[in-house]
Amino acid sequence: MIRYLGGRLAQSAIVVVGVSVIVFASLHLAGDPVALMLPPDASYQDMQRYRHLLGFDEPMPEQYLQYAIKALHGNFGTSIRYNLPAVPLMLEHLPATASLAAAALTWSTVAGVVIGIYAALHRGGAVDYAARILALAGQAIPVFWLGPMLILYFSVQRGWFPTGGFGLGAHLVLPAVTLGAYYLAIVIRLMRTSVLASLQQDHVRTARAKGLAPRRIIIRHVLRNSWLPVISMLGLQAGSVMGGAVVTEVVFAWPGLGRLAAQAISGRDFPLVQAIVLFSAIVFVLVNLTADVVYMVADPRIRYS
Amino acid sequence: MLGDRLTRRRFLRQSSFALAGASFSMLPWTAGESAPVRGGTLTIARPVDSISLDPYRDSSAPGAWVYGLIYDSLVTLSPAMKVQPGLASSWRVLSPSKVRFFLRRDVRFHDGTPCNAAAIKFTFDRTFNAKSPGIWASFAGPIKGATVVDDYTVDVESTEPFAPLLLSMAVVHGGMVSPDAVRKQGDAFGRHPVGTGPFKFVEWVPNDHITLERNDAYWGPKAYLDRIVFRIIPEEEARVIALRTGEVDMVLLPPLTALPALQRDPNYIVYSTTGTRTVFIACTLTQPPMDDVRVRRALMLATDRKSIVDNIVGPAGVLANDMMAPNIFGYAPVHLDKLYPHDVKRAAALLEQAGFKPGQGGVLERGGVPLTLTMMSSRGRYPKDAEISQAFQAQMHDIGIRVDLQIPEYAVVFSALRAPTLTVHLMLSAWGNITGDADHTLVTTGRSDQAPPRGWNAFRYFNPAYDKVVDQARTSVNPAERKTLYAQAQQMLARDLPYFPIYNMNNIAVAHSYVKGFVPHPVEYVLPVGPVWLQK
Repeated sequence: MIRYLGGRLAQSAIVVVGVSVIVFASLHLAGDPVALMLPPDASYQDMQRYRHLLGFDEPMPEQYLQYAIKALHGNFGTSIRYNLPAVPLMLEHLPATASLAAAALTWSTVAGVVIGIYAALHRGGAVDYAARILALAGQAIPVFWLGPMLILYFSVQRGWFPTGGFGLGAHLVLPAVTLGAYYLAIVIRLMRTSVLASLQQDHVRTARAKGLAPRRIIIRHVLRNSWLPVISMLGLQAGSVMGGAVVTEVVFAWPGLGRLAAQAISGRDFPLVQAIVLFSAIVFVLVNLTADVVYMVADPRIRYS
Repeated sequence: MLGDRLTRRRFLRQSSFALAGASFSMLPWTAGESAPVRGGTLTIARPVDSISLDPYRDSSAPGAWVYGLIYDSLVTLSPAMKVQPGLASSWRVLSPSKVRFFLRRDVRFHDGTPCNAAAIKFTFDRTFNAKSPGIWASFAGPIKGATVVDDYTVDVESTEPFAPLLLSMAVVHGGMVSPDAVRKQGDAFGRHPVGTGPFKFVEWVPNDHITLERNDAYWGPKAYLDRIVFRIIPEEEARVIALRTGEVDMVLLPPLTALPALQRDPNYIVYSTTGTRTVFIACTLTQPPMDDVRVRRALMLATDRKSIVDNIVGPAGVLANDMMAPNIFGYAPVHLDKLYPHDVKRAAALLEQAGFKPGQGGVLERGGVPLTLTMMSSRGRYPKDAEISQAFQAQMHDIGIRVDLQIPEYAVVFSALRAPTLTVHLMLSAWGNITGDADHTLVTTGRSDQAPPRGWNAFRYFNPAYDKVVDQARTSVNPAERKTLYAQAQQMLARDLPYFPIYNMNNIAVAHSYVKGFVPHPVEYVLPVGPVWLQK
């Protein structure tokens, strides 16, 4: 187990290094940020001096090496746009995105699991139809439409929630609902399908035949087998939710990492983009590693070696 | 910035001239002026956050809107484009390259330190040094720096005679910073700004809001408002919704489509004033056939600018009939509508003179080479920029010119604009005058030595006669003579047509009708909400 984890961590490190190389290369191929950084009247000499100051006149492998050495020492560079260290800048936008992602994933997972199970157990019933429509709609409705519609009804007409801005109370409700709708749809579908599949299994039929209480059958025998797809889905989505939050953050004026990243990219703020992408890659890798470990807890038959 | 009631009335009278061209101006004081009320919070929604609240660093309008309230400049530019006293109560022009400023003696920074001649010199030293100049230095031309004469007198000098020196002191980017706070905060000063202005910094939650509070110790007329909160709402429709639900009191850069409804509604006031920015289609004179003035004139004649402005630009601007906006000192009318009325036949005749004949597929050609022009345009950088480029493309098609239009993201457009060589024939671009003096438009975008990467003469307009005229105007101390020289320069531009002016941009804001005392400013970097009060 320890050996397995060690191996996985080593693999993860390779992934992160790979990501850093790709991001570095693609950013530097996209163009030189110096023109955007300097004031309009900057002279050609100024631009050259700045290029030199920032090391943009070195060969790219040399630049990457410099960057990697500094990064290993915990220095991810200074944001060109804000002239502040990139990592603190990123970290100050993290709580907003983390709270939004956590709220969206939590409610959508809980609701999705409950609805999915109920729909599977009452297959063909009214709830099942409603759940299937919900699952279809949740995946098909884009965030940039759902968000404004929720704002129009709940904020403008009813006045229940603010139209946007950051806060952990009423401010969080509509963005979390909007962002979570997509994941709700996925969880409902997965849960419904896998519960349906489990219900066909021999051991479930045996459990029924020996007269176990239906509640006990569902919790002990059906659910344990139906969890796994949802867990692996969450592992994949928890990483992508950071990126998927960009549109939600724009619609609800939410001061998160997604908007910071979008601004950094359009402003050619290389150090900031690199820090954010690298950070997201690390989160993604760690969440997936955690998902694999949770697998073992959820299903004792799974053993890695 | 803050005027007592008398000065406000006076400058409103003056500003009515500047506002005359605005298509949406509803003048707040016509609706029965009431006595200002003290207290309350003004919440303003804007699309993007400031980069920094240090004028040294942030050249963006969203930055300047906020720090313009925190800092004072030596002098200020009123919405009527007149220089008014600021930290300097008076000044004397000693020579064309030297102005002496007499400072107020009762001014302290928000941290309690005195704002004296040494403090003023600190901002100048910080900004006008060759090693790491500040934003202000990039458009304050040949300014060298300030010298202390006595505790409350400074001389500002330029390396060469520089007539716009005084106007260059009146920009928001020239706000005076607390030397003490800059030394203590270092790079973090932009997040913890300390100035002398009518409002003090309270907090900044990045990408969410910035809060300012009233400076009770302000040297000038104190603000009526307790607080001003700048919120960031990126979606333009969401900004209007927040206005309607009452979450914000004022919206900057509102969506154009929402304006007619807001204008009809008595609960809101749409403020609009024609700014100092002209949006134009630029020609690259080094790229044949754009080097041929007949071709440029033909393109201009074939462009239905009035239709573009009426049908596409709408309330975002007014038709530009001259080479720059009328509110800039040195403006002279050149009547482009009379010089180049929309006339397809004249355009075709000029192209024929230039040697173009109908070729395959209706595209004109010369020597077997089809008349195909490349054009670059931004989208969303200026109101309706991409739409204008597309309409222009269609109008050129009608006279047999093929325009290959590319609309990349703005960073690419910007890089192309700043590069030593520009390979496209045409570019949709704009120039916003910051100082209110023709020098900042005519020299920076037209003098031969200002071709990128040094300056903004992206047209590569090289005309020694023009250079001579704008240089003479820069060094003259006689305003009447300067106006005559600038008129000559604008006539040269109208004749040579390095660019086709399309519209002068309006600066637009929408507020609840209980927001009183706001007068929009022609310079887009200035947001005069300091004197505002709430009549709830």
